[in-house]
This record gives sequence, C-alpha cells and structure tokens, in this order.
Amino acid sequence: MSPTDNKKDSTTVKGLNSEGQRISSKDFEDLVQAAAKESQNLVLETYGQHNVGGRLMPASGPYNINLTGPVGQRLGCMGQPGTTIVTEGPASDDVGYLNIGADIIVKGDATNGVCNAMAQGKVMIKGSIGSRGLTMTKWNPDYERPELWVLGSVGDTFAEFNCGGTGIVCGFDAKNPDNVLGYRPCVGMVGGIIYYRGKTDDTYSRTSVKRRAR
Amino acid sequence: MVSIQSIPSTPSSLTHIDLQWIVKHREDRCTLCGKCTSVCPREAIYLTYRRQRMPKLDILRKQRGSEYRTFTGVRQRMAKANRCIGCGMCASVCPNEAIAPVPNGNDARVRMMQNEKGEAATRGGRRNVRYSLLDKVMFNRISMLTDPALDAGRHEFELNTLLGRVLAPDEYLRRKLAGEWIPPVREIFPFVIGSMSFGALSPNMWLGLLQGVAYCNEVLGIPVVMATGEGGCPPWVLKSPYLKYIILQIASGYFGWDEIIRAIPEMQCEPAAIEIKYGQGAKPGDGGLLMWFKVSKLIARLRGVPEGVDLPSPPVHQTLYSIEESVMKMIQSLSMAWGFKVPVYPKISASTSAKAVLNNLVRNPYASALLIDGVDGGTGAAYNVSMDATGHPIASCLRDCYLDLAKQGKQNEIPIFAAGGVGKNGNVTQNGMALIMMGASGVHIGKYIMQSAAGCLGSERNRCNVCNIGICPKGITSQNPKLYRRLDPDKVAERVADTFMAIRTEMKKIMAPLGRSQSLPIGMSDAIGIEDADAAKRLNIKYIC
Repeated sequence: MSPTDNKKDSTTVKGLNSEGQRISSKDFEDLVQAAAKESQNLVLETYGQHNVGGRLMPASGPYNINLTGPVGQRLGCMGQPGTTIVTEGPASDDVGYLNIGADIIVKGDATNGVCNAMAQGKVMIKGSIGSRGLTMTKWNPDYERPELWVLGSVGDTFAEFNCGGTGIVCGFDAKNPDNVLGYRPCVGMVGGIIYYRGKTDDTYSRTSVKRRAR
Repeated sequence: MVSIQSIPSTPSSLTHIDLQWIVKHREDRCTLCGKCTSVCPREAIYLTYRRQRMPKLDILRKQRGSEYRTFTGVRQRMAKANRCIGCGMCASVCPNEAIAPVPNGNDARVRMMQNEKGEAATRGGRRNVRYSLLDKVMFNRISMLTDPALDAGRHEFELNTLLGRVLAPDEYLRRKLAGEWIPPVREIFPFVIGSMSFGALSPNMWLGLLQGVAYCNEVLGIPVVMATGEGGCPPWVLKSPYLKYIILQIASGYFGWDEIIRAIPEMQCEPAAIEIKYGQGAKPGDGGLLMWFKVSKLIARLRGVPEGVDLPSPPVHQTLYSIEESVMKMIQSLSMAWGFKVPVYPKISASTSAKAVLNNLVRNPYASALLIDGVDGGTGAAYNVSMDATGHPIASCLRDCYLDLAKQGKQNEIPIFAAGGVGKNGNVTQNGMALIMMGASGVHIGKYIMQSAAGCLGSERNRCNVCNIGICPKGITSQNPKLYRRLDPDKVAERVADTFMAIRTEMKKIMAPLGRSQSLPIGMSDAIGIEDADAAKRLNIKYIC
C-alpha cells in the first residue's frame, strides 16, 4: 500500500482541549503523530506548544503543515526533509532548531535563535528576527546548504559559529534599518556565506570572515 | 672570563635541566638503531655525532697531548616545541635499555616560557595534582557477627544501577492504571565509560571501546554503556544494534546532530540515553576545542563542518538564557526526538550552583538524571589554568546534592551520577564505590579507561598530556593514521572486558563484607569512613583514625 492510500485530505489538531485548557507539548506531539498517519496535510491550531513539526519521517511524507494559533518555541525542531511548515503569524525562539531538511515559512517576525544548529532546509521569515540567528549552523556536503531568508533585519551576534549556512538578509522594511546585520555578526564563523542589503555598523569579525565585492 | 656577547643566551634560552623531562642516554648500550628518534612524537631527540676530546695525561713527561674520538649517539633538543614530554616511547622501543626520560628534580623553568607569542599554555589530561581524597575513604562497616557477611565468590550480587527517573510506587501505579506515560529507565552497570568525542579519540580507539562494550554486554552480561561526547557518531554505529550501548551527547557546538537526526528513521534500536552537556569538570565554563589538525575528512563529515578548521564550541548553549529554560527546553526537545522513550539528562561541572540545577530537575517531569563532573575530570584540550585551578571537587558537591535530595525524600527518584578523578591513582572501584556510598547512582570514567584499556601514558606529573595536539604516542587521541595504527582495536576491546570483569569482582569484594548483595549501596554512608576529620565533617561521614 502506498503511503497516500486511504488518507484524508486534511486533518486538524487543536491545541486546546474540550475544556479550553492548553494541551501539553508532549501530548500535542502525540496527537500530531497520530494525525500524520491519517493525512499529509495538517492544520495545527497551536496554543504555544513547543517543538511542533519535527519527527515526521520522510518515508511517509511529504507533509504540509499550517499553524494558525500562537506558536511556541522551537517550531520545526529537528524537522525532516519533505516537511513544509507555514505559520500565519509570528514565531517564538529557535525556529528550525536542529532542522535537517524541513522548509519553514513564518509570515511575521521571529524572535531569537532562528536556525540554531540547523544543517539543511530553508527557513523564510517575512519580518525581522531577534539575536543569534543562523548560529552554529552545519553543512554536510552530501546535502544542500541550509538557508535562512529574512525579509527585514537580523539582531545581534548573527551567524556566530556558522559552519556552512547561507544567510540572506534583505533589509526590506527592517526593524533596524541602520544596522540590518546587528552588532558583532559572524564571530567564530568557519563556513557559509551571508548576503545582505542595507546599512551595517561594520562590527563583523575580521578574523572569521572576508567581505567579498558586491 | 668570556664576554657576555659570546654566550648564546636569550631570555627564553633553555638547557636540558630547565626542561621537565631529561632524556638519559647511555652511549655504552646504544646500538644506534634509530628507533627512539623515529618514534618520538615531539622529535625531542636526534641522532648526532660530536667530536670528543680524550685528554692524555702522561705524568712522567712534561709534554701533554690530546686525542679525539667521535661520539655518536642521541641528544635532546632544547627548543620548547620539541621539549620532551616524558612519554617514554623511546624507552619502549629501545632494544637495549639505552634511553629513557627521567623527571627533572630541578626547577623546570620551561613552565615560565610556555606563553610564546602571547599564547597561554594549553594541554590535554587533567588537573596536575596527584592527591585524591577518594583514595582515603575506607569501607568499615563490616558484617561479622552482627549480621552474616557474604561470600564474594559464591553469592549472587545485584550490581546494576538505574539511569532514568524512578517514580514513587503510588505514582507509578496510578500512571500505569491510567495508561499514562512512564519515564524511560535503563538498567546499566554503575561504571560508565564517560564522554570522549569521536573527534578527540582515534577511530581505532573508538572501535576498540565499542567492541569491548558490546562484548561486556553480550558475552559477559555486564551492561556497560559508553558516552560519545560531542561530535556525533559514525552513521554505521547509529544504524547498528550497538546503539543501545551508547549515550549520545549533545553539547553547545551541536556537532554531529544532523547525522544523528537523519539516522533516526533507520535506527534499529534507541540509544541508551541522551546527555546534554552544559559543563565539564576539567574546564568549567569553557567550551570544547577541537584543533584544526584533528578535523580530518571523516570528522568534518560527521560534524558537518569544513575540513581543517579549529572547532571551538561556545561555553554556553546559545539559545538558553536561564536554568528553567535550559532544563525545560533542551530536555523536552531531546526527549521528543525519540518520542519520550529515551532518558535525557544534563551533565554539569561540579560547582557551588549544582544544587540549583538539581532542584530544577526534580521539578521537571522529563529529567532522567544529573551527571556532575568534578575538577579532576579529564579533557582532550583546555587551557592549563582552567584545568588546574577552575572547578570544584566532586565529593562534597555530590554529597551536598544527595543530602538535599534525601531531605526532600527524592533520593530514589532522580539518580545522580558522579565523575571527575575516579581511578586517578588506579583505585577505580574503591573510588567509584566511595562515591556511590556518598550518594551517586553510578560513576563515569574516562581517563582511567584510556589508561587501563589503551595504555594512555598521561599522568598528573604532566607526563605526555599532549592529547590536544594530535600526536598521541599511543594512537589514542590522534587522527593521524601513522599514529593510530599503533593501537589494535581488538586488544583495546580485550582490555575493556578485562577492566570491567575486574571492577565487577572488586565491587563484590567491597559489598560482601558489608553484607550487601541485593542492591547497589547507593547513599550507604554509614559504611564508610575517612582518616581526615575536616573531610568527614564536610561530607557528613564517619571520621576514623
């Protein structure tokens, strides 16, 4: 039987129980895992649950996930290839933490630690992000480089210890138009490329990265 | 008197009596085979010839004369980069006992010179202090007439311990009946091979350890587990049935975790546990440091980084801002990766703040244990000042934490594992059992297993201690095939099995006189005493003399 047989078009998982109380992240994950057996399209009405969207194994995918409620920390944590996660609003800390292939789209801002330790997959942020984005990012040459696309600006200590991730900072409608890369980006960075558009304070680590011509 | 200009002396000039180890060479025994100079990892010695004056004194004639001969043999280099590390590989390959390093009884001035170009001294090993408080603990509540002692050779002993959160009986029953989640618990041997990374250890060492651990489990019935340290695990191990003997570590560099997560769908079994490293005893508050020459093609692939670059790990996890967040966020994420079926516990360096961490774990439903690593823990690379002077001894830190748990009545729920200096002077079982009776559920041994199973030459007299620069003379901590070929993985495996069989016997020899056989004497502090009144008072155990 192929994985698509006998599956529903879409399944909705609610983050609140019938009494209107928040379901714990662990129990919510169990519900999502059960829903993923029924359908490859999931609508998750989250209520701040953490670690949503990981552990959806590629063999039974691809999975399309839409989040409609408030998003908890570590959205797409340990995301697998073949998973696409879209959240309608902003996201909390550590979007795409340890992601190894999921594509994550945030239609708002995201806070600190976006793409921390991510090794593969694309994260796209429609707004700006907080500090420590694209930090400790990895890249295995057998796979595509991890990518972080930010339409606005990024916060301080961006791309610290980046080992191979690509960052694209567009500087469009930036939270901080005077410094789209934040204070002290790229410290300890040993691999990867950062593209940016807009003004910076020029505090990037000279010992770690080289500036290329435009 | 010669003019000062003619003496080739600079502020940093050294001669052999300024070095920590002096190579003694006996010309009369040397066969000039050259094995010593070729094996020396630091090129500290070289074959050379010298013109030597043979004074000829003929007392009956007024004329004096001299003859010359040619000395051919081995001499020591004085440059700091080539200073002898006392490993003694020259002595071990010499066919004629003609050469050996001896510790310098004089002041080793080289210590003042190890800051060239402004670089502070770094090394591998552990705190260079030979004293161990644990060695002074005695097991002295002997069952003789009060209750019958046991026969270590004949009786059956339950020596294993539990890694994982053990629920109180009523809570366990309630959850069982309600069909609720029950925390994962592993039954393991209380001496765990502590975290040493795949980048720090050579492939042969790692393979030998894994083979030995598998043999202990599958043939000897000793459920030994080993921790990987940061930097991941080769994919073939992740997808093998041996993964169940491995504790995977996640540390602040997150190296190797992409390969681990990628392998999850193909895993045949679950790992023994997940260790979240927040700190290590050898260098508290400092991150891992893998030097560029150890980042080979294989290591680069495993870690998801470019080849041949320095890999420092930050001192802290970059996305964690408080104890509550660290404990909750990391333990929850890592538990979720295996569907809450694998124990997840943090490793911290012993410190005055350890109790705060422990109390957070007690309140966290997903925390499985706490590992505390004391100041005498080893490391592959750190600044000398971190290793020698930063940290907290394990005994009092463990004891404070255990007694705190006991006060809350939680001592059987969250196991505490202790590490740092266990077996420093060879008394591995005695040290480990002393910690267990002070309240540890088990201990981690790293340096001891390298010494015991692979012949590591490092010592607290600063012998060898060059794990950080990839020239390990025994091939234990090098990624250079010329060096690690010296280490036969099968022989390492054999020695691992030998070591754990002996520990098992010694555990029985300690437990039998105490009349204890049905469970590990965790926290049985009435059975120990120490010949040190201050330590006894601090540790709340008996003072004996």
